[in-house]
Amino acid sequence: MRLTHSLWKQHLGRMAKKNWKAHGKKVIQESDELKNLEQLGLPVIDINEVVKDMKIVERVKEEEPKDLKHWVEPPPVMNNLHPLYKARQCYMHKNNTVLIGGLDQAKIIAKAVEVKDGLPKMLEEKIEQLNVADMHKLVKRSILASHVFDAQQVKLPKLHDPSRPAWQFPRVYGISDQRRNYLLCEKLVQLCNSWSQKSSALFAVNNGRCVVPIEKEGDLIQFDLTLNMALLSSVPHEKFSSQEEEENIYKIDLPDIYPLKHTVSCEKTHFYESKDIFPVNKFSKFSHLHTIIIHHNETQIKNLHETKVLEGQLVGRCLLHGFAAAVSQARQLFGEVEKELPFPVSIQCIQTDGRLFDFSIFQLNTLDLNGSEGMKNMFWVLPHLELFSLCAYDEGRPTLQGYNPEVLKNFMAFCTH
Amino acid sequence: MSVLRMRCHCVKFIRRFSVLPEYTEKPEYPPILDLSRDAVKKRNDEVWHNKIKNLEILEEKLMEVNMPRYYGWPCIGLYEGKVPYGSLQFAQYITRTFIVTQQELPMLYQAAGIVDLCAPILDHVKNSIKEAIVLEHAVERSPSGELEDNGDDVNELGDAIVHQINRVIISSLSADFPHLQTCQVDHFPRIESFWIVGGIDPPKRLEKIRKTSNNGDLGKPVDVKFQYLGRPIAQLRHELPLQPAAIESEIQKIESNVPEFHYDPRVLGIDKLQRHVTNIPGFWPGDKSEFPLMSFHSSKYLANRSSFDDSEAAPYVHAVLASFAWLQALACYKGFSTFQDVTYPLLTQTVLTDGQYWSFYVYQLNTMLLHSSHATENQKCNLCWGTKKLKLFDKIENGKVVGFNEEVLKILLYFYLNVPHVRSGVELKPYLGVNNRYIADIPEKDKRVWLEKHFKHMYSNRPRKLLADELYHWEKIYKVDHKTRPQEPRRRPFELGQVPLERRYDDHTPAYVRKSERTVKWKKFEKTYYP
Repeated sequence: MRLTHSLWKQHLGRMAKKNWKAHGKKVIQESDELKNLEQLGLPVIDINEVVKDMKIVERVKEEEPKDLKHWVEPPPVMNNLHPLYKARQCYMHKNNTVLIGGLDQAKIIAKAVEVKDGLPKMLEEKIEQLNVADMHKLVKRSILASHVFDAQQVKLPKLHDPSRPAWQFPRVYGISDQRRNYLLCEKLVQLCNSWSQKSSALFAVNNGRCVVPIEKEGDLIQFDLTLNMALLSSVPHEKFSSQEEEENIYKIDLPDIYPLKHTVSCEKTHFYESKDIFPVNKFSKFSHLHTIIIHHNETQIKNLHETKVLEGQLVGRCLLHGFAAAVSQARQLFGEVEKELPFPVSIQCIQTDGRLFDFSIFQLNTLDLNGSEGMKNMFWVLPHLELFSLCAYDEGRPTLQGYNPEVLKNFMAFCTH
Repeated sequence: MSVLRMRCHCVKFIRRFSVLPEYTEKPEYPPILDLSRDAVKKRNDEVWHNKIKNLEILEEKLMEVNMPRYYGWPCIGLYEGKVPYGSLQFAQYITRTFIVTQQELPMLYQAAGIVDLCAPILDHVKNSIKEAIVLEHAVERSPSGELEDNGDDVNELGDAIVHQINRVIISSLSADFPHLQTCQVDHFPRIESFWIVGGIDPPKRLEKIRKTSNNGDLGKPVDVKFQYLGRPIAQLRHELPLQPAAIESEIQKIESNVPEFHYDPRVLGIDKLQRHVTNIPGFWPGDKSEFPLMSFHSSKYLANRSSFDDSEAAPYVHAVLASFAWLQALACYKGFSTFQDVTYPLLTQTVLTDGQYWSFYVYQLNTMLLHSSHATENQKCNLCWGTKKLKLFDKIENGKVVGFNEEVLKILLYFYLNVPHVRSGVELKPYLGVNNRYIADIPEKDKRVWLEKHFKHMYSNRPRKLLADELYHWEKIYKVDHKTRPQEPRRRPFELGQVPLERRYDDHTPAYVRKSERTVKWKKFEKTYYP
């Protein structure tokens, strides 16, 4: 077999030569038209005589109007002429930011301390009293509906086996983590609303935007967050702290993360718009944030250094979402306040990745975030709660294993408080 | 040894047949079959349709429709929210829908006694809904929604209003109407539906081929496959069905003049697809809430086609296609298919809205048998009742709703208050197995896992690793039209008499099993369980 590449299989040269040969001999034949016209007695004029006096007019090409519908303005160059450029550097904390220092770093930014393990006493009592036995069947159905029975099929992230990194797994199609979390939270909130009369006085809003710039020890830190779901009420929360806890605040110190600075892992930028955005404008009657539900989507929320997001970092994320929402709420209520608030602003925060739930509460007492002394803010959090241990197709059967009824109790208590 | 065994077999064979009498009193001839081309094709089709009918497992039924094609079926793609100009006749013909204009929509509910139920609730719900609308107008949304982006037609505010109103109504009524608590709400579900319609004029290209082959089928109508792909804003499902709005005797009274549309659907500017056909009503088989209550669809696209003068017909096209497709897919989950008609009517309620303007439709599915000659022979038809476009409110001013229209809310409440009931005396799933209905019911583990994996693989419609072989232009010129290369070995599919697009789904080497994972040492390849 010849190893050379087999090109020019069809020899076109001969065909071209034949063509030239055939057309070279072409004789112009007389047409019958002239004969026919003469028979009919019609005059015949040579075309060249008609054309002789005609002038060739050059056509001016008209410029075609630009198709403005599909015209996209080129993005402005990122330099000091950019409309959003500011000389002062800003540390951006976005939805996907994960702090390397975890909970401790978050506490320093928000100047918050944990006064007690677990949730505040009044909420703990409420959780104990709740009887939601009739709801578990519906909740189990909702979990299956969002984790297994939803028919979305999109490309999921590539699978990776560290022990054999070159191995290419077949790409898995299924429900994306954004959709799974969205469905589960929608369904749980809907069930809470139907179950309790109190929570039907709350309105749930999706994808509300919350932008809060704060000054801390000479740095400008701006939170630009999406609240995946926010429950809004017409009245603010009463404060969660007891008298005793408030006195204890002064005794508890903020954590120390030296040599790290509290702004580490926030994105530094000169292109930003420094303004406050609260998810709901003033005209609405329901302008008090009651509970915020945030999603931990594994495909979006990642560490800068590519390691796994740790439990402490997730709790830190919870804290900062609660803090940003509380500051935004306080500015909505009291305007620009420099120091202590007329009354504390509290936000309940639920974070979930579809399986694990973090329940936390943030109480904003002061907006004086500088230093580590004086009045501080408060934070209560429960350790991770598992909603279930497995919910997937197991050996070809839709399976829900290890359902934990405690999660629903907490969820209900948060939504009906 | 083997000779002995053969002899034994022969003896058994002879013994078995020697029992039967050799002669009968009356001669028994085999049936005389019509051997014409059409009759043979019809018989073969019937064999296939009966195979689908007799399969017990639902997923196997759904897979079997795709089994004849490795690269999928060519079909016409119908997308939700893309309504071609002047396509009402077409939509009615391919769904066999009669639009009832004599009867107003609320009249249906008057007869069912729902209107009386609605009056005391209205005031209670009205205020909450007003507040919900004001609130949604007051929300500052993130610039990029975290859910999937859907191009230009996305209407975040309208979708949010629908979700908010749905949430308010369900939570305030579920104490008095328990069906609202037990119903399932799907948000932006995946709706896909497939059906075949006959009686369409043959395309020119086919006619040209028919002319040359001269089989006497010139001008004979063809079947066209339709694949609907939709994404409603929300839908409500329940374990029990809604009562039909019109019973069979009433349907016969309605003069079912379903308009006819025999042109090739491509004249409307609809494209053809090549894909594995799918039937998905928003969830996978096994979910118990299998009956429709209502669905909400975005009518945002109407704003983009304001230059067209069919603003009355276009919503009907949308509603008819969306309702039929969803009901069709749901019926498929009950064991029916485009080849086996439904044995009882199904009802759904459809809402088209952009948040401010609402239109309401009730759709009753009586038949879905539309393929080949059934397109003209089938006497049953589906029914659709609808309202005009109604304005829910004029505008929002200083945090208050101006010009709120209670009548619109009333109709919406009728839809929610339509309580589903047990359908007594009807077998709901006649073509599914009694104990073996879904893959999850199969006792053999290997078969169950294999089928589950391959059903999802087929329905994901991921592209094939290798594209189908095609006939290149140079081959058409030098090999087909002019046989200029007689000495070349014949290896291309068209030279071997193969048609790549007609390859069967199971026409492939089964997956290789690694030596360490084999149960039987010499079995190199995985066992397949195609239906």
